[in-house]
Amino acid sequence: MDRPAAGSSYQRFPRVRIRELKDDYAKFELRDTDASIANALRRVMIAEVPTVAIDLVEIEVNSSVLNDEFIAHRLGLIPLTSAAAMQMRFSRDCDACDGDGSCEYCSVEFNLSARATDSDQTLEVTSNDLRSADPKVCPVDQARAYQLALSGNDYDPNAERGILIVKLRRGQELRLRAIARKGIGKDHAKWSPAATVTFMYEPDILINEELMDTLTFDEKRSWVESSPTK
Amino acid sequence: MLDVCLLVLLLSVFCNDRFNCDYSCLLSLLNCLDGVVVVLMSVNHLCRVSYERDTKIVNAASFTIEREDHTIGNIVRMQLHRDPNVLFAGYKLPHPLQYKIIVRIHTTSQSSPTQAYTQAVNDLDKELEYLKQAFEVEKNRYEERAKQGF
Repeated sequence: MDRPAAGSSYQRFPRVRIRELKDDYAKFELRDTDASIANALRRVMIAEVPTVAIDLVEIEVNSSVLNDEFIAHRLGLIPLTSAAAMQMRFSRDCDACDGDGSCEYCSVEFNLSARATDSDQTLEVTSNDLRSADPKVCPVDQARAYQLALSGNDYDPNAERGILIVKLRRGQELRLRAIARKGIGKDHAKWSPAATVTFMYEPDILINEELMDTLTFDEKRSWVESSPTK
Repeated sequence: MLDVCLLVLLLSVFCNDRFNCDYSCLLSLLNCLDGVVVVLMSVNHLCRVSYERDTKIVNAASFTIEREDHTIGNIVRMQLHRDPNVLFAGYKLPHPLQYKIIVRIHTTSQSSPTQAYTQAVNDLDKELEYLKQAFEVEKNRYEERAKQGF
């Protein structure tokens, strides 16, 4: 059998066409490559793109109805703005500190202090009560509210209520220090930047126009109706 | 705690001198201790890929890639399939708790597993670099079009 000499390149030149692009949604076509590349992209987007999330919580006072680790877990799941993640270090690779939050290269400190004063109203502690030491890293809804306030249009403070962490009754208190770190979705899903990433083959539909001309208008209409993705 | 970490560090440096070492026994011995895995992983990046020739078949070999999974395994396998000198290419994830893959390659006598593997990885590298640029160009084009109100 005739084979080409070893050492020749089999590189492909994939083509991309964006169909939709929004702040939190993208849809694009990928051509001239195969499903393994699309699947690798999908897997990397889900599990290997670094983001920032709360990873260490030191609780000073917690007299709420939820226990400490329950609150720590909830704090971890709050999405934080992660544009700075690529410039941050993983705390395990950071030689400037031992990952206790004293280092600006690998961690961002958050503080939360809330106490329900003596009224009958329950106090809702939300992600808006988190105070970040670094303005680049904050809960995403805080960042969005800030952007809306800057642009000046349709800013409704009641609409941006934040993510509920715990409700406090009269006299109850929550005070804590949290360290956000860089991480990847492979370690914990809280670091996954994507909600869902999927790909599919798209059929290339060729219509037999000759045969189509033989159909009546109603038949054509029902042919269109039969499309599952119309 | 600290001296256990040091011990593991020394052990893993020692293991790195001899390729194809298996950390699983070490890990199972010590995984109860916090931070040990992290130490192992950061030291281990000295050898990401190791190579072992098949003793029975000529032009056949296995490559062990540490700290990679299906993401890399499948694209490398598919890229190797594009090379007509590659007679067989496959990968396996030996165990879900062992964070490594094994890529097995069998080539014709015109090529060699090392050559095929290097070529495949270089081609993939160039393809993904090209894809990255193509995506950025397309993103700018899309945003330009959106600005013009299409």
